[in-house]
Amino acid sequence: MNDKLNFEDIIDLLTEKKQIPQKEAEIFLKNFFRVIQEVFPEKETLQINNFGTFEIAPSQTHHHLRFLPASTLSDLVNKPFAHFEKTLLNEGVALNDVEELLQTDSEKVESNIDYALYASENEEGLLKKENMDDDVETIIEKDCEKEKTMFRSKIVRKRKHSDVWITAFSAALLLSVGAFVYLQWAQRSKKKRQSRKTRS
Amino acid sequence: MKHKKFLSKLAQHLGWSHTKTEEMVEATVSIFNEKLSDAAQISIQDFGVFDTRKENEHITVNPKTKERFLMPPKIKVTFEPATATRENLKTDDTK
Repeated sequence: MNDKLNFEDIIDLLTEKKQIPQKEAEIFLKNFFRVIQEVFPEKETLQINNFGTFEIAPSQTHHHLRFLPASTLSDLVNKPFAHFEKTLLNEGVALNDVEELLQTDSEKVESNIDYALYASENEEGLLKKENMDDDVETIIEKDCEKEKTMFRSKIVRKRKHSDVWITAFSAALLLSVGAFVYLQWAQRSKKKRQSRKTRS
Repeated sequence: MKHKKFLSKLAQHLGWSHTKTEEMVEATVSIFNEKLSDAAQISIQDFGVFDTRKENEHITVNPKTKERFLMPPKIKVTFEPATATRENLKTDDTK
């Protein structure tokens, strides 16, 4: 597949699709983009059906041009992820699941951090985007922190549980050893008594 | 500006009929959509670049209800306006 397409490629595709002379397609596309450009200075949103909306966000220093894809376009683009859905994560987790959750949690934290890094890189670079993006970033950062604290608390909880198990095990071991020793002693004393009886 | 007003403006520019312009716009839009869904980058000189960007899965927390949601990965369509387009916006400001 062609990864990068330019104006000429679009002209070729359009001539092929509509079976029209190349010159006509070129004239059409040139005018198409020129008219869109002419709309921008009017500071008006421009809506093109099935494609998206060009929105001009006013700001103090300079105006931002934002493109919001139409639902048809975003659905088309998101086809590989169409079967995924936003899922609610449960807060209270059964003890048996703790370890499993720990792992997945840590993974998610990592991916979250990656995303936050990516966003910050973007911000540093060309894309000094709208306020909206900034909000999203802060939310993500907050999420990261929350995830981290949760992660820590889970580790602590897990450690406590292991301590309990160790003490229980050691107590059981001590008890069994004690019982064993007592039984041995009891048997020996029995034998001694028997031998005394036989002697007497 | 709504789609219809844009179409009539474009038809006026071209000197074409309304229906023909509409057909052509539909064809161009479908080409754009098709190519963008194939993860292609479309750059138009002096206008801008249409591109797609993948957003990883992440967890969001509703600060009010403390509900945690796992958000699925998503592909976003981005548009980076060319310098000419930006200048177009700027010059208007200084006027």
